[in-house]
Amino acid sequence: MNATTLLERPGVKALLLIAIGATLLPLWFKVPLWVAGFSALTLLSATGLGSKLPRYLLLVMVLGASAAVVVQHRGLFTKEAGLSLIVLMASFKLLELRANRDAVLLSALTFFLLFVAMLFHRDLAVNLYLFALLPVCTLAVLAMYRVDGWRGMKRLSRESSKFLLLALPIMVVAYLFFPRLAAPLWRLPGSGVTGPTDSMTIGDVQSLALSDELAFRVKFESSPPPESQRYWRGTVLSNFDGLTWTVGMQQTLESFEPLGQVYFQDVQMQAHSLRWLYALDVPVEVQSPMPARRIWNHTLMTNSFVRTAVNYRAESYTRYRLGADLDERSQTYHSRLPADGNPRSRDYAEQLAARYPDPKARVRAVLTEINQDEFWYTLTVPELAEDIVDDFWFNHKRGFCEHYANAVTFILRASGIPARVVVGYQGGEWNEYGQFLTLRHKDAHAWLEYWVAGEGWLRLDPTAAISPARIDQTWLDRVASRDSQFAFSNWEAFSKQAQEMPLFLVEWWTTANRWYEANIVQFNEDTQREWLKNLGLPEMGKGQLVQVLVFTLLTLMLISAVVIMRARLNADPVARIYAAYCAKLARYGVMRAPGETPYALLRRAQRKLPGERTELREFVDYYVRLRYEGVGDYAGLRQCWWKLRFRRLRAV
Amino acid sequence: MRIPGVALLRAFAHGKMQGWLAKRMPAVPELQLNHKNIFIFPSGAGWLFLLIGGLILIGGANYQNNVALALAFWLGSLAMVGVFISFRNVMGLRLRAKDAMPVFVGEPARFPVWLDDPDGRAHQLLAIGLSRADLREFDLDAQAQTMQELSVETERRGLMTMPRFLLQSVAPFGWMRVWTWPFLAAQCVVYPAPIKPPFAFEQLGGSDGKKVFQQEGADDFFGHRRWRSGDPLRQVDWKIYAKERGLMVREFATPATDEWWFRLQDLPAAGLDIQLGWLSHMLLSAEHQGQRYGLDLGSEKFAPNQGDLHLHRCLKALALFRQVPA
Repeated sequence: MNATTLLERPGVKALLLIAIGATLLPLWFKVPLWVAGFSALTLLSATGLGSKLPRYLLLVMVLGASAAVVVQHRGLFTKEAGLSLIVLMASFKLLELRANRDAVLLSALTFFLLFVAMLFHRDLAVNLYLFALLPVCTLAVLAMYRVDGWRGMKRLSRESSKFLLLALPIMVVAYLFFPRLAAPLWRLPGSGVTGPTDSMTIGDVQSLALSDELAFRVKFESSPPPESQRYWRGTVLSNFDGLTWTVGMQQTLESFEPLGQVYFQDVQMQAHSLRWLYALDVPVEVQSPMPARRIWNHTLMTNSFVRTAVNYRAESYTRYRLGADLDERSQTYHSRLPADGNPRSRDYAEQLAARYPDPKARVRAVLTEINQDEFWYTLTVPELAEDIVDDFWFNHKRGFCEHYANAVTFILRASGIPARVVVGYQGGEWNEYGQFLTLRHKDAHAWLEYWVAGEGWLRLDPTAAISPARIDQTWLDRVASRDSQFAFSNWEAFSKQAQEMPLFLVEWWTTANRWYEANIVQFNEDTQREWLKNLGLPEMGKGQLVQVLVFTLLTLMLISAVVIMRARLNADPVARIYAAYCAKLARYGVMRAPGETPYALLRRAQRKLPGERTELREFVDYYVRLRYEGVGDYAGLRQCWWKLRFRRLRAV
Repeated sequence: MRIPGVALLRAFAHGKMQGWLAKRMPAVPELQLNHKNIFIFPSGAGWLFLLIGGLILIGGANYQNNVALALAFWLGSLAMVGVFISFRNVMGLRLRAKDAMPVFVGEPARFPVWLDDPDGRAHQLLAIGLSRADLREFDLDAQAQTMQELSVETERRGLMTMPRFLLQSVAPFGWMRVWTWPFLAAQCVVYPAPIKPPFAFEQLGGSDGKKVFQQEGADDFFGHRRWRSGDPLRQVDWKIYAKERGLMVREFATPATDEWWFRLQDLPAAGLDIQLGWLSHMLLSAEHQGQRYGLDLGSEKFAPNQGDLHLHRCLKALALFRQVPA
């Protein structure tokens, strides 16, 4: 084999470029524009330029690009810088297609790029696309090792899918039994998981409101709660230092008395790296593979950070009496404010308290103010002065849920009503086909609870009081991340925009997504254990799991070996039948000599087995006519053979 | 990179390997490839692919990315299945070799190797050659057979046996190298290379020739020999044929004036191989000039005659003269 044979075969270079281009495509949306542009340019020029570039020029380009990556990402050891480097280096390799080893390296690289793309894209559409590329990458490899390259494409692609299908059973077993890690061995540098924070400083929720990313999905055992009741309690913030709301100190467990219907929910939660789980307001019970419990303020707290996706079941009541008998200490705790700051709001609160002694009337007055005055709901918020509540309430009167929750809680506390901020999600998108709700990061919400003697904590959502005329419509159709501008990476958002997809298709797709989330993305140590238990297997440790895996794999390999080695996939079926016939005769001691004609063999067979006259002769006649004269067909020959196949041949 | 120790080790291993192969795969007229005589090992591309698969596996496990794990397992099982698929691409081949046409020392002996599959399967991208450095690629289509010439350098006269050769394939993935070292029973007669003698051999041969045949007389019957293709039919002895003793040809010793007789013992002293080289040259010249010529090596004698067959017999005698049988 010459040093360049592989690349000279027809179509090999083209196939390699197609495979590498198709695998690079999803990565271009995750790197800076100049990297993507450069990569696309090399791909285009690789066909013409090929190997004509001198080596020193290539070296200069590699060094220059690496330096540019360092400048762009402020370092080399971040996730993003790593990705940019991989994309650039793969592109440079395209300009250096000279020897066989370049082709071999590039073909292996396509598989690696598939993996990198999987790390950066977790949604179903892109991953389906990536798996669809697997036969293409395999095809490029197969074409490299054929004298006529990609000629006979139909046969080649059939071969490629056949080989992948043959590999499928082993893959499935390995996938199911391979022990999953409970915690990663290492993390990519700088890989923060987006999501809400465990404190609220004005401006934090803003970034979330822009993101279309999936937060969680919920399936209800019975019918879903009415839309007005779809508040998802995350955590409760009771302590305010003038700038930031935090959970604060632990109080005694608040009493709880259910009033209405119970809701059982199955939640598929995405990782959010905080220490609580979301459930319909107010949860009373949770069953989760990762230890979680309900704490004093009726939020669901986990023992460790929710760093991986988790499925859990929660039980909630939307109508309830919570903390009706709140003790004195908790009441004062929930009325505390910093010693100074926001003087105008404090004055305003005192005036309100004087005018409306009844707490509920006071709250109604505040809401009326929000509704009647020029309060706007908008995401473009001006920078607030030091006294954030004053500045918001009296000057700008523009903001989003956070600003309203913050201001109203402050005013209620200043007027003497115990109040606290609740952070979570609100609303959600109902999927009729799959019967579940989808909550996205843009649904993140903040509201508040105020306490009334005898009635306990009451939910208050000040943003709901804003006049609909004063809601800034632009935020509704703002799309957050760059990828959602591209159809394939955020298909759901795209299809909603396009308004062309029939609704049932969208819902079907969302259901597929849900299945993918539940069974593929969130398949982990716990679900694997569950799954094995459902299969009726005893509880197994990692070691036993590996033993089962190895045993099953070896068995499957043996089966594959037999299937592949014995099944003559390409063999001529006529020759196969004749070989079976010869094998049968051999069992009766009539071995076919090399080069022996069918009739010569038949004469010997009939001498040895005089009891057999007609069928053997018939078979040989048919075979010879079919083989040498083209008369008859395979089915006819098979018919003749089946008359012999299971019969004992008679010697007498 | 060249490390002397490695080369030595390799040479040693090669020697051991050849010895082992000689026992495991002795010379056979026909060889059908099966699990007993095929070897398989990952190629460079195979190791690279395994490395990539390993990286994906570790990455997928660490980042708890099940999709990446699925990819790793799919690639891994493709590699496993690929082992059998690659093996199967070479398995079932039938190899047969034929004797090569005789050549002179220094010319390559071309051994024809016939390949086919009794089951009629197609085999992709096979490569044949004497070593990994010199391989020629070809395909074997379904229901077909192919002839591949194996050319071997010749260094000394005699009967050359076809050397052990390499048949390998990396198809269809390039990840596994599947190979075998068949040893087929085929031979090639290697004539001594002609050397122009430093004397006028026409006179030498001519005078001697007449002397030998004077007693026989013109058109004298010399003897019988078995018929070979190319012999004129008028020379066939039909009486013998009628007695069902086979086709025999009458040979006549014609004491023509242009009859040359080459005798080894009459040649000037020199090394045997040089003398044989002279004789080779003489025989060729005589044949070329249309002379009748005979050869006397002492132990073997060839009556004067002419034609390709006669030439071959004489040259073959030179090739095998005082050769220890291999």
